[in-house]
Amino acid sequence: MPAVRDEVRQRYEERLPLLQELAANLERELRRQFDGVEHVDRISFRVKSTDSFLDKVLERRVEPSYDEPLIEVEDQVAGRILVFFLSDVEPAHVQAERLFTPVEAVQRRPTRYNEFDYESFHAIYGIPPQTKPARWNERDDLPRTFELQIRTLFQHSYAEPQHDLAYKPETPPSDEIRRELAWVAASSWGADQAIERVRLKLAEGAKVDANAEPGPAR
Amino acid sequence: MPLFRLYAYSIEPQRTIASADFVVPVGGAIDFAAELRAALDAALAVARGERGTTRVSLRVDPTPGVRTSAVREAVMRLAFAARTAQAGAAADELAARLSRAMDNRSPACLFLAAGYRDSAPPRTREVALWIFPRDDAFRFRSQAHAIDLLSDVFSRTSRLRKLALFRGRELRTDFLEADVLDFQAGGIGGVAEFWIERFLEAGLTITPDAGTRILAEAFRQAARADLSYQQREQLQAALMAVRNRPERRFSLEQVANELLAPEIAASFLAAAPNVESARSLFRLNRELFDRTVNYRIFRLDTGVWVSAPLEEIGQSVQLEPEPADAVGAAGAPGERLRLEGSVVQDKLGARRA
Repeated sequence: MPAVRDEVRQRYEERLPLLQELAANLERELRRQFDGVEHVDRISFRVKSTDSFLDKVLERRVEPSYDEPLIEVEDQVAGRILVFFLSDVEPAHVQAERLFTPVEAVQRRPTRYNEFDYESFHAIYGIPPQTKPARWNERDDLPRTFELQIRTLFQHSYAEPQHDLAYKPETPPSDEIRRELAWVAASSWGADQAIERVRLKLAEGAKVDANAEPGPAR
Repeated sequence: MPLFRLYAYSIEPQRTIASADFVVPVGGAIDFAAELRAALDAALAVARGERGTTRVSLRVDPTPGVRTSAVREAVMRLAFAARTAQAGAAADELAARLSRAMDNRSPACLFLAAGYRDSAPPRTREVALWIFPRDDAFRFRSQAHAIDLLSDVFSRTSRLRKLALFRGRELRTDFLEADVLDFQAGGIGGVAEFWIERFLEAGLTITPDAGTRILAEAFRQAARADLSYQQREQLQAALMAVRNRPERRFSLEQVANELLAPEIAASFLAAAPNVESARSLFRLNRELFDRTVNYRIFRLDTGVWVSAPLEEIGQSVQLEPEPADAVGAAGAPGERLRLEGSVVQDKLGARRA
């Protein structure tokens, strides 16, 4: 097994400069595409770390399993758009698809109404020609796709620490920790709903003010 | 990569035919001898070198666990099915689909579905979907002093021939794109759309927004070069021609080859991030193009040309509506221009944008 790990590591790391260049190109393209779009907190891309790639390919059980992980793992290059409000997620998705062709798209959320957990929009896109680094087409072991997540700041405030703390399959968290995490997820969900309501009320108020007849001078 | 499967069908346009009246295209598996194989290899080699080749992305159902389309499914079965019958059924489906996608604006044609494979791992396969239009031809028999009229021939070199070339392995990430040869794709209306959009159910891989930005950057980059007045005029004419041409699908290479002299074309094409993006067709987003090309050029009634960066409009370059009683040229925008600035360069009378 260590020999396999070493071989996969070597093959993955050999391609890292190309993946990094791709990530930079995608980030630049997407930032340009969102130039002037309101309520976008940040846009960023990263390349999957070697250890994270090795864990995903060699440790975790993925259904169906990977035949060609160097090609099939779709988050080797992944990006994220953080937006202010829940109602910004769909327009951001539409804006991204003016640049990228979708292969897969899903809004991840808990399946049951009384559960609180990770929520985010995930999409897989084909890599557009104009973002491919030089020599990209000379190799046959590079990914064809990349991942993009779009989520609100509150969804992110739950997702990132939770991913860091809880996502260790070899030591599943206790029920108490799960409950704490569910509380954080519920709070994030509630905060998103509340700030969305505030936004709507302020927007409606502004509309009423704009339509109001001018009153008598005081 | 050696040919290992070949299917051929005679296709009649049946897009407007009711389902009940649809006639299944006639054809099926073909035994191929060395001569036919060589002819197809040669056609493929020519197509790969053609300037009209562009990359397209299949429109797949993005539901997780699905992420495929009818065309992708059929093409992959043709490439990878262990049993010949399964591959044959996939070719039948593609032929029927093609017939349903064609209307009478496209000529009847020969449809070929060819599978190629490498004997060595990895298991990469190629599938070439071809159409060759029906043509009328003469056959001269010199010994018999006779000419035969042939109406069941299909042209291998016609500009109406089309190709979609898929390449990949049997993976969920593969066979999502194809290289397409379609000289009509840059045209207008249904004929331009039938091969890529209706038959393949695909879109150009470079989206209108992305392509338009690359195009605008190419014009900007070319304008930054040290150009003569005539070259600058040609660049401006090309910009306006691109903006106003009725066909709104083209590639950077097409613009360079058709509208620019080689010395301007070089700096224009250098703006493309890579060869693939220079060759790929895209649809122009005119509104974005106007916003992204950062300068405007005005011709005044005095014969003077003014080329101004957009950020200077409203600053050192002032545009005002013409007085109501002014007599302007027909079609003129009805504006008056005022310009003020210090001359910092005047190179032997050549006017600079």
